[in-house]
Parts: sequence; structure tokens; C-alpha cells
Amino acid sequence: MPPPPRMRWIVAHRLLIALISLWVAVSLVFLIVAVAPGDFITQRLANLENQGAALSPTEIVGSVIARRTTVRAPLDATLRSIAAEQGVSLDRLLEYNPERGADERLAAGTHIVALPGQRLSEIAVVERVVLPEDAERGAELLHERNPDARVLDGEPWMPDGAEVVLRESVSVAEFARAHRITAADLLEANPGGSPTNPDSALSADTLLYPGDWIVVPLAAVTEASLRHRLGLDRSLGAQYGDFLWGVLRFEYADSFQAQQSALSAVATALPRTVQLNLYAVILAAIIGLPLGLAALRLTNGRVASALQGAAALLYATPSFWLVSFLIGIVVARGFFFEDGLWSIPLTNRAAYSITQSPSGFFALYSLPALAAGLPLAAAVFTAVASTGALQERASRAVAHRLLSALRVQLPLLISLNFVLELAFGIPGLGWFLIQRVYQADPPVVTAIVCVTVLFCVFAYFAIDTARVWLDREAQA
Amino acid sequence: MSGLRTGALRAIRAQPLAALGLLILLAWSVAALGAIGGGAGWMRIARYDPTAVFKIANPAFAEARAADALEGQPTDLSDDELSALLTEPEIYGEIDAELDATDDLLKHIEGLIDDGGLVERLTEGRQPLLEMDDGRFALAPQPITAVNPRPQITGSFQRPSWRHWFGTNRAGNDIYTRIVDAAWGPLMIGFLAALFGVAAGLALGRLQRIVPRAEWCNIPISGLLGGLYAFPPLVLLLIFLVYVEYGQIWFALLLAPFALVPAARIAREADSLRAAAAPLLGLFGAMMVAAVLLNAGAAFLGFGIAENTWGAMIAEGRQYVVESPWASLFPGLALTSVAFAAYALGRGLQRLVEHEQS
Repeated sequence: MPPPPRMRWIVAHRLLIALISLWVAVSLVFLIVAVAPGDFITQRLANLENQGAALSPTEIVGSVIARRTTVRAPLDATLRSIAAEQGVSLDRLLEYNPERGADERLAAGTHIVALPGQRLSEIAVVERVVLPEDAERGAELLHERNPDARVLDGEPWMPDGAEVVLRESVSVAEFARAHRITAADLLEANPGGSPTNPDSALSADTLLYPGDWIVVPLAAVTEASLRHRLGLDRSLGAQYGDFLWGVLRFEYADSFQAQQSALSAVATALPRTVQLNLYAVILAAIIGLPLGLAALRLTNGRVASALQGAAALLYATPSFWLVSFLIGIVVARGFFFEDGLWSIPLTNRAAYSITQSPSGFFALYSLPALAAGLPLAAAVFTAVASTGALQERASRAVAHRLLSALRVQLPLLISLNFVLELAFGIPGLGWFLIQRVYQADPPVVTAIVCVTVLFCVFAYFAIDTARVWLDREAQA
Repeated sequence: MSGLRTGALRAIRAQPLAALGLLILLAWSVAALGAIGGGAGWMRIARYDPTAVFKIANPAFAEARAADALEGQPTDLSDDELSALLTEPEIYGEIDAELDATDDLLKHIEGLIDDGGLVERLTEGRQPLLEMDDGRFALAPQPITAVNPRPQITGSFQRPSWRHWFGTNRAGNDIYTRIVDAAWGPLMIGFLAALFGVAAGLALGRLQRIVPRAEWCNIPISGLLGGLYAFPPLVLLLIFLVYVEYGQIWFALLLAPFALVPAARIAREADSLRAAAAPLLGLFGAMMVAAVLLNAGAAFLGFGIAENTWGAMIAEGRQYVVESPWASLFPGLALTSVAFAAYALGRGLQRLVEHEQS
């Protein structure tokens, strides 16, 4: 028998396979999403047509009236809890909502005044004075134009009912930029000039004044221009090269739908998905491992079979079904508990992150993680319990079994957690993926799939290498 | 013959869970086969026609639809126009006479005839409202009311009862009937996906073994398989389904890579086909579980191949889980039972074969 190859050769061998796998997977993404985006494009065009946005005449607005800013109360909220969630002081909320008490239970959906006016940064974005990413600059700009604005926590705002001056005039180029199109697009859509400059050709520097109308070609977006924007009008080879190079450098095109880069969409969503999966894995280990180890010591055959049967049943339970019953039990008032066990802060954004709001995180993630973790715990239990009678190197055998189980379960866990995210309204990768598949947004779909695939390939590589290492240790 | 019987008995005693699994799968297969055909299926295992049931329970529904159809119409419609308007199949359905129409319903229909007016005009036309021949009759709408006097559809979310074993859903469909009607999908897709994956994996794994000592040849194959396996199965399904006119075979094919890679590994590492048999049987069961759950998950998300699937039923009933838990409880139990049966059977067979071989 030849001596087993050295560990580092095995690792190199597996790494090579992992890299080939990655290349194959990414190429497959390219084939599916990039080469054949016909549907994405026709769908996108149809969407635009539905919105009636083919050519939309837009008025240049000079000023608007500020409104008060409200938030809607989530389930089981009080002013105190809303203040904590929104990060504003309770005293201020009490002042703005004098008819409410600090601990008064609010009906879900009640409008609560968060500010008796509107932030200038918000107005600047909504009225397209600046792009959303330049909200801060927009606030400064509007503050200059509205020196009487009040300031709260460094942010300028205008009280309810006050007039906010947006602009005295705006150049064609600037207006185009705020609509994310080029000045050329805008000029092409307005060949006859604008009402204030009739019969005179517009140029990028022409100033437009409030009351003026201009046609904004939201769908300058023909099939040809869409293909150009996606880079699909180049040769396949060039596209493929750029795609691979982009994937290597973690660079993806800008989102088609939201005003953000595809990678920033992924960056927002990824931590939520990772938290959900990790939480589920941890719960599965906490539940399945001790039970499995206990089952190893069982001598009673009947009890062991009963446990195995229960584990098989639990393993076969769809998590997306289980979670709705868990929610039902927990939130139903007077069903099991007088007041419901706890309320789930579904509208609390801070709860998506464990660092921002630990209590919110546990309230929000515990049920879905439990629903995903229970079937996984059954798999862990079965893997450990079927290790066989306790041997000398039991811990190693158990570890080996666990790794094998994880390798088989991981893709299933990730997939079903994508479903769970949607069922539970956690805007993670799965939520974004499904939403963007429906919305026809190839860059974001590509980015999400590539990141997922990358993670999986390296997770399998790590698991496989660890298994080989365990085997060799066992032999040695 | 008696040897076979004692062998089977011994196998059942050794692996009772697997026997239970086999029984469950057989029962579902019979149900799925029996639900084929119109109405309640040729074996009448389903109780009602899954598409028509809601109309039975809901005269109010028909009224509301008729009122909708009449709203905004001029008052001087001719009989033919009225008749055409009100006799569209979506306004009033058919009732299966076997379904012992309840007293309420009969009274309601009598009331419609007594009312006269528009109804009378309609019955004078060429389209009679009640047809009693061949055991089926149509429910007449009460078209005069512009506002539905009973906005709550009467058959919605009825509790499980002798009449509706698993209760009814929001539209008033009998849930038991819908579950039996949809049983075909998970069985078929689960089995096909596991079959495709395990068979292809077996072939590939053996191929890798046959190629003698050429480790370098195996690297690209492993890489290719790894690339396919790198997609969590639902992700592959989702991005692909955007492009294909999908049917059951597509679902099965897209879920197959998930089984392919572990199967290829087992086939490669086993010394003989005989040695690979036991783990492959276990894998087959586990992969069927995965395919059944993922298929239901996709349907839950709205990627359905049929309008009536267990996944979609779970999704629909989910919002009403506190008030009417049966709407998603029973489809979920059905799903769990199929997945459990596949898993228990695969694992039991694996143990049996292992036992035989040792």
C-alpha cells in the first residue's frame, strides 16, 4: 500500500478543485444571467411602459410646503419603545404627541409625530434636488436657500406648513444628473426647447426656471440602451472577461432598480442572512448535540428507535411551515398567554443587526432561527447518534459525522432560509434575490448569486479539508 | 412464497420506521393516482372537484359576483344581453348533486325562483337557471342587489367537520380535496429529482473510478461537479426559472445536482457497486426529502408549476394561522408526512442492506 500523500498536497489538490468549481459556477452565472438576460430586459421595458414613464413631462418645482414627519407604530409599541427604536429622546416624542402617555399601548399602525416638520435632507432627495447618496449636501444646499430653517441634532428642518425654497433655477445638466440621466438624453427628448425657451435649442448650460416644463426620458431606456448600459452590446468574449475580472475584484454593475450599487445591496443584506444561518446552526448544535451524545449511551432499543423516529419526523418538517405556527403561538393573545408572549418588532430596522439592538435581534430572529434550527438539530442528532457504540476515539468520530452532516445540510439550510427570510420579512440575501428576480435586476441578482456561490465553495473546501485531516489523525 | 413472507416480516420488525414510510408513500401514491381525472378523481378519493367546491358553499359569492357584473350596466338590457352577462361560468358554478346540498342552499335557490323579476326574465330566455338532469344543476345568482347583503363569504374558513374533514380555506375550498388533488406533484418531483441525481452521480462516480490512476483527469470532473453543487439548490432554481417555461421535469432536473455530487462521491469511494448500494439508498431518501421540501419552498414563494400545490396552500393559510390554523396545518402535515416517509424508507433500506451485507 503506498504511503498516503502529504497533507499539503491534499490541500493543494482540493484548493485546485475548489477554484475550478468556482470558475465553473461563476461561468454558469454568466451564462444564465448575463448572456441570456432577454427576459430581464423585456420585463424591465414592460415595467417602464406600465409606469407610463416612457416620456414624462416634468415641472420644474421652485418650492414646496414642508409636512410633519410621522412614523407608524409597530405592534405593541409605546412612545417609550418607539423612542428607543428610532433613537430619539422620549421627552421630544411626548412633546410632539401631547395626547399620548409614555407607556400608553398604541394600536399598531397609529401615526406618531416624530418631528413636527420635515428634514431638509429628505426634501432634497424627494424633490430631486440631489441624488439620494448626496442627501447631506442636499441638506446644506437647502439650508443656504432657506436660512430660517430650524436645526435639530445638526440636521436642518422646516416646520409643518412652512414653504421650502428648492431652487431659483436649475441648469439642464444639473437637472439631468438629479434624474440619473445624461444631459444628452434630456436634450434629445426635448428637441423643441422648453416653454420658457421656446423654439430655441437647449444646451447643457441652459437654465430652467420654476414653472417650466421639460420632458424627462425616464425610459431613455430602449432595448438598445439597456443592452449598452449592461455592456451587452460588446462581444461575448469581452463581456465574459470583464465579468470574471469584475467578480474577482468584487465589482458589479449598478443596480437597475434601486439607486445603489449591486454590491452595496449585497453588503446590506449579507449580515442579516449570515446572522440567521449562524443562529440556526448554533441552536441546532445546542439542541442536537447533547441529545445525540445522550442517545449514544442509550442501551434501551425501544427508546432509541423512538428518538430516531422523532428525529426523522422533525428533520422532514418544512421550516417555512413551522415558523408560522411558532409565530402563531407566540403572538396570539389569550391563546396561550394573556398578552401574547412577546411582540415582534417587524418594522424595527435596528433589530436586523445584533450589534445595533441585541434585544430586537433576539425578538426578531429567534423564531425563524428555531424553525430552521430544529430540523437541523434532528440531522445533528441523527449524525451523532449513528456514530455507533462509544469507541476510543469517539470525539473524532463524532466530529467527522458532524462535518459530513453539515456538508449535506448546508445547501438545504441556506435554501430554506432564503424562503424563511421571505416568510418572515427579513430583508437578507434571499429576500433581495427573490425581489430582484421579480423586478428584473440582473446586476443585483448576479452579485447575490456570486457571493453565495463563493461562500459555498469555500465552506465545502474547509469542511472537506477538515474531514481529511481528521481521517489522517485517526490513522496516525 | 412463505420465505418471502417471513423475510418481509423480519424486515418490518427490524426497520419498523421504514415500513411505516413505505406505507405512507403507498397511501399517498394511491391518493395521487385516484385524484386523476375530472371531478373528485376517478377513484373518488378526493371528495369534491377541487376547482368547483367553493361555489357550492357560497351562494353569497355568486350573488356578489352577479352584482359586480351588473354594476354600471344600463337598465334597458335585452334578455339576451342580460343572460350573457349573468350566466358566465365565473358568476355561478355547478353543484355536484351528490353533495347533499344543505337545506340552506336549497332554500336559497327556492328563494331565487320566488323572487321573480330579473331571474324570471332570465328563465324565460333560452338559458334555464336550474338544470337538474345528469345530476348537476347550476346556482342562480340573485342579481337585483347591488350590494352583497352578506359580505362574509359563507364557506370561508369553516372548521374541520364531517362535511369538510380538513376544513375550508379562504375561498371556501375543501382543504382535504385540494391536498389530495395536489399530492401528485411532491411525489413525482421528489422521486424524479432523487432518481436523476443519484443515477447521474452513480454513473459519474464510477466513470471517475474507471479512469485509471489519472488523478488529473478527475480534477476537472470534480471541479465541474463542485461548480454545480456550489449553488444552493433553490438559488439555481430561482434564477433558472426566469428563463424556462417550467414544468415538473425542469424542477426535478434543477434539483438533481444537489443529489448528484454526494452520489458521485459515494460511487467513487466505494470498492464495488454492491458496497455503494446501501449508502446510495440512504442518500436517495435524503435527497427526496430535500427535493420535496425545496419544491414546496419554491411554490411557497410563488414559483409554482400548478395553481394548486401544498407549498402555495401553506403560504395562503399562513396569514390566518391564529384564527384558522387548519388552512396551513393540514397541507404542512401532508408535506411532512411525505418527506418523513421518504427519509425513513431510505434510511431503513440502507440499514437492511448493510445488515444483509455484513
